Amino acid sequence: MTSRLQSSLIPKFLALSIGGFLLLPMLLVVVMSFGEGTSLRFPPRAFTIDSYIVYFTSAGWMVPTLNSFIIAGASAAITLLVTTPAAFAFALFDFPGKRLVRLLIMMPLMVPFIVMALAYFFFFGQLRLLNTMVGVVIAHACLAVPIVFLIQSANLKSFDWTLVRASQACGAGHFRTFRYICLPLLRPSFLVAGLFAFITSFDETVIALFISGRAASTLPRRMFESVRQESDPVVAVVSTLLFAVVAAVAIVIAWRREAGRSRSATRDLERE
Amino acid sequence: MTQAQPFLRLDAVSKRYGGRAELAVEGVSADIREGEFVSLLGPSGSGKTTTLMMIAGFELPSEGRIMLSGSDIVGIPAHRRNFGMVFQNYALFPHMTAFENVAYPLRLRKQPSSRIDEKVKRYLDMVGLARFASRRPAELSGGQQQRVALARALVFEPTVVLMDEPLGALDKNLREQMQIEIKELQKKLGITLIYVTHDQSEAMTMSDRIAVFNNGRIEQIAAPLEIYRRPETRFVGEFVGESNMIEGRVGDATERRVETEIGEIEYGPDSAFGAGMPVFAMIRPELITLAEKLPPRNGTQLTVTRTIHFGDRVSVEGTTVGGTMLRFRASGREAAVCATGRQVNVAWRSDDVHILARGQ
Ligand SMILES: Nc1ncnc2c1ncn2[C@@H]1O[C@H](COP(=O)(O)OP(=O)(O)OP(=O)(O)O)[C@@H](O)[C@H]1O
Ligand SMILES: [Mg+2]
Repeated sequence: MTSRLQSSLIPKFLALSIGGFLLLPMLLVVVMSFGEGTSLRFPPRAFTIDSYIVYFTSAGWMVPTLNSFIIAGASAAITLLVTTPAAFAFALFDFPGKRLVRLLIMMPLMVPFIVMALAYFFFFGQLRLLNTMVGVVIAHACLAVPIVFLIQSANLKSFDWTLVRASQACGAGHFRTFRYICLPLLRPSFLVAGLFAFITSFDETVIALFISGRAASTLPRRMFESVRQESDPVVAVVSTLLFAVVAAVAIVIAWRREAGRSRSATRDLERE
Repeated sequence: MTQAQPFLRLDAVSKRYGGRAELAVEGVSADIREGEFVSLLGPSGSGKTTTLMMIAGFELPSEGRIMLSGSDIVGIPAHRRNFGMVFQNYALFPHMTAFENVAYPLRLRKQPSSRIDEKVKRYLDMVGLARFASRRPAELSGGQQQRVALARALVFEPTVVLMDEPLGALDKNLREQMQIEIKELQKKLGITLIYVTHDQSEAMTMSDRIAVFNNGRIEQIAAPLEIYRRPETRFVGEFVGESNMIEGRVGDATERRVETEIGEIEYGPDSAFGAGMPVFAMIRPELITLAEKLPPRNGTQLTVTRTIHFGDRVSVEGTTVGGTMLRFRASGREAAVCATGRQVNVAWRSDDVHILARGQ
């Protein structure tokens, strides 16, 4: 009896302590974000939402936030545009040099960030792409390509390719087969892949520190500078908001999985 | 039913998959008539699916031509051939309901929606699924899914319908029921149907003609009874039904006799073989009967080595003095006579003996 109690308690205790260990620092940040005063401190003397107001009203924070969204969105779009056709080609065809091309695609995964950051710093300097959003977008897309290519390849591997033949036998060419069969069935996993690309860029700091400059400063870069120079409590605000967004996205994804797919492709087809 | 021009013609079609030494399909030729039900029958790996995929347009032949009403269709992509197709794993679109699946080929053809509605309902009704129109594939049983696939392949009135082991995933009872349904639909709608199977009884009961595949070649293409009674090769004789193949040489060709280890065997009038040719004399087990006494010809004495009782009948194996094994059938009542170790006399009619060529 005791041993059974123990065996059911121990994993629970472990899970709780690990969860606590991971969440506790996060909770501290949440608490600090509501703290009063101009520098970070724990425990706060009083609670206000002053720092939130500062964050949402100062251009010094809003511009990098917007920059980050634009850069992450653009690099996610580029990443999907590059990796999706590549993953299809790798899933469907055998061509000479396939392994070499795969190796090239995976390359950025093997190079340390700091090495890539330095390389981009010198290379983009010559191309006049330093301190520009375009430069950061390109660098971040290169970073996300291998990861998203892997995700897209896995998605396509589990796809039932006889559906493509069935669609062709029904009279649909490649384009309409992609539009009405592949896309609706793969859309959820494409979205997840896009989300990964977005987060890869949004979260990236090292390269952004080297090449984004003042003009194209991203949110992580701004946070880094803020902590280093002023220990501004707004950093805690940003962290709290990011944490909230991630939690919300995770909940929405889990909820949508539960609800199941309800869209129908033929309804799209009918509309035309 | 003779036509100046065959409907669908395979002309010396071969297929070699990239990087492989051997041919998956080798010199396959066949003429298929409009409205005909042709089965491609053969063991695993014999090239049935490959042949079907070339007809469908999913694989390019390495050599040869595929002609439809006299014109070569090899260059036409699958989606422009207007051929219906049913796959073994159903291949229904999981994000569409049964109705939407069947409507898909009609929507692609831009038919007006009132006509789509009417046709989809009619075809779902035809396969007995009118009540399930709004269900998704995941909510249908295997048999129901295959019926939807059937309706989807027929609804746009395709020129030819191709099926690759469509009943392979169903249990025996359902399979037999669907065999009858497919055959009736095919006859009623006058569909030209090419049907891949490795189940010989399925091919026998459904087809107008059977093409027996072996090692990428068609060994014989003929009506089911013709295949059964007069196989042209040993492979066909043994693959379709049970058979006794007795090695021998033609003795007197005008008297139609084969000299074999178990004596002279007379054969039917329809074979043309010269004296001295190496042949097999084939006798189906159900055409060999027990005899009171040993007949002077077309019979032999056997020592029973094994009997398998099926209730209504018995399958008996015995060997002759020379060691030739023969298999025959006896009625349930005769089982006692055929107990293992007993000596029995068996006989057959010379008309039931079929002669086929034997390689050296
Ligand atoms: N995509 C492919 N690439 C390479 N070889 C293939 C391919 N598909 C089939 N083959 C080979 O071609 C030969 C014929 O295969 P096929 O699938 O046509 O046989 P089948 O008669 O349909 O067999 P089964 O009854 O098992 O379905 C086999 O030796 C097979 O290994
Ligand atoms: Mg096959």
